[in-house]
Amino acid sequence: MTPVGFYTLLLPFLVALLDLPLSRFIGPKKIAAISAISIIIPAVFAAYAIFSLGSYQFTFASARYIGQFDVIINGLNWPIIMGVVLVSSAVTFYSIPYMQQRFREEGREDWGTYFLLYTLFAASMIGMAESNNFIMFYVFLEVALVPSFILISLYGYGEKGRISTMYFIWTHVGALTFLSGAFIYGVTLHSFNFYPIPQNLSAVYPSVYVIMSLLLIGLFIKMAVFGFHAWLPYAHAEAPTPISALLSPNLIGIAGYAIVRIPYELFPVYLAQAQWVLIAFALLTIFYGGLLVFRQVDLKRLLAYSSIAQMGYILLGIASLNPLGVAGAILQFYAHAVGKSVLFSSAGVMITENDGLRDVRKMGGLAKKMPYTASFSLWGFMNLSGLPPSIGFFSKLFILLGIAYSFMGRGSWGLLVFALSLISLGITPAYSFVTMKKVFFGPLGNPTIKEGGLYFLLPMAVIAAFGLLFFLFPNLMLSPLYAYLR
Amino acid sequence: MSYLYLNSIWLLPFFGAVASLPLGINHKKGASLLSSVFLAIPALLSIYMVYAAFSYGFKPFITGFGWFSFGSTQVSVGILVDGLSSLMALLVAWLSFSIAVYSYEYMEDDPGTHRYWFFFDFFVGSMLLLVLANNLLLLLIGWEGTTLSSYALIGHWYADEEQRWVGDKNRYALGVPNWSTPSNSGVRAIVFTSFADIGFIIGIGMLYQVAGTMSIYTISQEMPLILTSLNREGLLLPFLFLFSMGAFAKSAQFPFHEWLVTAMTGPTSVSALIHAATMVNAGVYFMLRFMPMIISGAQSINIMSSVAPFFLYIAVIGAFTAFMMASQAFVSNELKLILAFSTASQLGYMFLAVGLAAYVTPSVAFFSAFSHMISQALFKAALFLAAGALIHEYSSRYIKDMGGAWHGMKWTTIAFLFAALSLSGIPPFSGFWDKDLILDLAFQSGIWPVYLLGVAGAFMTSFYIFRAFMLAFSGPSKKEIKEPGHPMLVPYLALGIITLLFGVIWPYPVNASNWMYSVLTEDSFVKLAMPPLPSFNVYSLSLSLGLGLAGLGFAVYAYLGKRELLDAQLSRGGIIAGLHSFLYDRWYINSIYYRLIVGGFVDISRVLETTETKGFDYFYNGFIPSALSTVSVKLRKAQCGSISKYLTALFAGLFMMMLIYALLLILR
Repeated sequence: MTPVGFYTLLLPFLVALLDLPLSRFIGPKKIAAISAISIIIPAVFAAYAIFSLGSYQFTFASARYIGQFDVIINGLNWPIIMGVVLVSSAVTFYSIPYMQQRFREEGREDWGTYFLLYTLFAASMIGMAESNNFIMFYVFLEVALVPSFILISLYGYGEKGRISTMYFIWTHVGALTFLSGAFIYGVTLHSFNFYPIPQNLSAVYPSVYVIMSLLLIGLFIKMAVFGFHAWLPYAHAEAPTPISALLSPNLIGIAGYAIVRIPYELFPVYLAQAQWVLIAFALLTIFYGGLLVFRQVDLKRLLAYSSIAQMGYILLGIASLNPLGVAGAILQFYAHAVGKSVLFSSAGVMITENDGLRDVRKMGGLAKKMPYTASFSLWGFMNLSGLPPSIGFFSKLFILLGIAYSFMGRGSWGLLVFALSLISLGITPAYSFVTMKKVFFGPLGNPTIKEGGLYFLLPMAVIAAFGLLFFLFPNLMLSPLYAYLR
Repeated sequence: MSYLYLNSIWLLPFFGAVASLPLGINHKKGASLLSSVFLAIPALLSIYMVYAAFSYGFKPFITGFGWFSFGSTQVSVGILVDGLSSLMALLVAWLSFSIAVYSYEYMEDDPGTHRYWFFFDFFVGSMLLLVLANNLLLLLIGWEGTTLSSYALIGHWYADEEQRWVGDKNRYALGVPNWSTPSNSGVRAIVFTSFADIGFIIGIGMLYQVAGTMSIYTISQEMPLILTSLNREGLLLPFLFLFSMGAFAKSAQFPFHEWLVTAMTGPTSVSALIHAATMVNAGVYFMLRFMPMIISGAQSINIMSSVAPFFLYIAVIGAFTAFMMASQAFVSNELKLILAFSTASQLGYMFLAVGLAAYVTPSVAFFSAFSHMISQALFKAALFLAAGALIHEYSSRYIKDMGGAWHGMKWTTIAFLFAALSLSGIPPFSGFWDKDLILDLAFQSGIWPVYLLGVAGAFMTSFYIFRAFMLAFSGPSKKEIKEPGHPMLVPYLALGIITLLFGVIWPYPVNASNWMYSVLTEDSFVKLAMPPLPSFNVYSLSLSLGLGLAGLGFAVYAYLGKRELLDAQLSRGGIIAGLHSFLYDRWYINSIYYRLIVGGFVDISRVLETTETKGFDYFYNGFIPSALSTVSVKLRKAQCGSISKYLTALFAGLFMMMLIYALLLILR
């Protein structure tokens, strides 16, 4: 296969390194444009790979005992690449007015460092999505964690030193748990490849429970599943908003993708034994995250809890363990990427344009002064609640189709799953539209408020449009995905 | 029939929505005109569709072009035209167009015109898609599209000014506010309906699991197999409950009825279109689309006794809703609220009819529900639109502030009167035929509680609507008022007259039976036996007609010039006042919901918050870090720098190791 795919993956890393010296010569807008283009190019290639080649795999390195390092693009990670690229490239431009304000508050302007870290972060998430090997996945994971940690500690809010450390430590606890599972796997098989499925996979079966538990716990921590989530509300709420918009849907969602890519594909029989555990965690996460949304007064923290609940959706789709539900889970990644990044962006508009306004109790009636932000927020919540014409409609639909498919032959326990899904999933529209009401409707709470500028609204519009696009043409995403899963 | 023409019936309103949004920001009139044009064309096309379907003998006609596929399942975009869907689409398209004409004047001065027209057209597109969809997935998209636009339009006046509220400010029932603001009502509507829709989707999932297709036609043909398989796994009743859950919520049947009451915060035109004439009928439409296949499937494999409990449930819920909502309309002071209660109550009659299908001749029961749905849509739209004109003229939503409207608004009075007579079931208006047919069927079925609830509801219906009529139109004029302009007046006057005409032509026979009955059942793809309509049962007929007239007469007597009569009774307190509060506070059901369900979730979320802060957050971010630092402080003490202590520790360690080694040797 052509090595172009590998080069497109490398490109944003190179551009990231160039951002620092370039910042001495050109302004932030141009750097943003260059970075965004370098982030978009991998997706353009991925689209070419999906629609023209069917799938793509290119080995760029291999070693004994390690296996081979491939760049892979196929139906399963295509929605992930699209989600990551869409959000990261659009938010690059959103960063300009946002970080201008943030730099002013912090008293020093450093576009070079910002875009270096930002682009590294985005590029390594694409790398995670395109990895075929535990080591490669882990290296990209590290490369994503370090810049995001530095970004939070430099430009975050509140106790940013403590919170960024917390973020760094907990994600590493997750990453290392994952890595230890990967080591047992790799040492046994003499290869760390998880894709394509190794020929001698049965060699790990004696220790499969240990491997699977370590991998799942590691990914659960990354994904902030109920019980493993304590780090998330801090990190996602106190990160600078463009970083929240990347962290919240993308980085944690990739852990969900990894559950599909690794345990679901490698050990389907063993994962099926843990189905009740998965479903319990999924429903608990949706219920717990969803209900805690109601208790939040800080808009960004509110959105962070909603992210926890949305991770429950992804896990619920996976827990159905059939192609319908898993397709729903992967679509949910994309729907959540569209929805949550738009919502975080809206929250960011309020913070920058209105002196750090984050307290929901001080909002109300903002739709009058911020009609565009209000519309985008509505669209974001529609994606989360699964209302047409948003792509969230399809993700929710397929998750529920998968659940119905898997659990209807299971007697009263199956019916219990239906009942609990009904209650848990019913919470999402409730918190979505209650939040809409608290923030945007009712009497105007804050008369001095004003709408964000074009650099805020245009990126949101682009993200929103891509949510509609894949609703209107679901085949673009669903056909390759479903064909792969079957 | 041309595919493009037929599909543009539901597609054009969506284009209208998209086109009018940017236009409406600066050109209000232009947006109104543009979006009305995008509704006029579908209305005309729907006539063509009914004509085409007619010349095709109302055989099912299905179009579809591939939209997407997953696995072996192809999902197409296309429509299913038969008697049911073509007549329903005709109704929806024309009502939408006439209410759009009404809105042209009604929403003239509104600052949010662009939003209004966007969601208005979006709604019509979704509703037509729902009605015409050839597969469950498209139906679901239309279904949830109506939910979305209903939410947006209920909360249209999102700034929550007091004149937009429903209910009485500062009135609490069991500590729960009796009133609701537009933004709050929107949330209530979307939460109720989308909660139930999740059940609907799980039901679709179960159906898809068994049938392997989303196509409505294919499902109908395979229904015996589907039911056999579900019955074998003992999932028949759970499936029916989940699958129809969305329909109960959409049509505001108990226990999902509360959202419709507060939905009256939307503009009156929206209440007329969405919350009276079209969207709330979607649940009934759903029942009429799927329940005949279930009955005929169940009949063919002899499992009627397994599905009968579900139909009994529908009948009981329908009758109960019909009765309960009528009783609440009895005492309400707000014109729109009376009509909202009435809508839910009438929908209850339709559900009652659907439920009776398992106990009487199914085709007749389904037909009576369909006929009543059409009648109700016509007269309720007329009532709402006239009410909108009244509320506008009196600048008040309370009927007590109205009075003597006859003097200024003669045409409005006539339209309202015609519609009210039809609602009360007075011949020859259309409401007479179908409501009496429903009650007749209930009588035949021998399920007495259901029949009695229905009959009691019939009495209350004519009472509450003529109470409203007398209070608003009779007596001396309270205020100088005038008829609205033609765009507002013509739609509801026309609807009032159509109500009469529809009643007159209702019994017109085709093939020795009612024409509409023939259209619906003759060439339906659902195989149900189709005996001629029964002749009316004299006892049942005279009872329901008598009660209808009695309610009417009682209302006229009580409120003709003696409007303080009942109020004086109420102010005396005692049992009547208690009953009044019970009805006025909506049987306290709203309060119970807030206390138990909302309050319950609030309590749970409080507990969870404590779990979060004192549990997880403390454990991970407080306990573990501090435990680690305590350990580190303790351990650090060992690093004291004294060589003698290090040496002691070294020898102690060596000694311990030797001891353990010795122990191991001994144990071996």
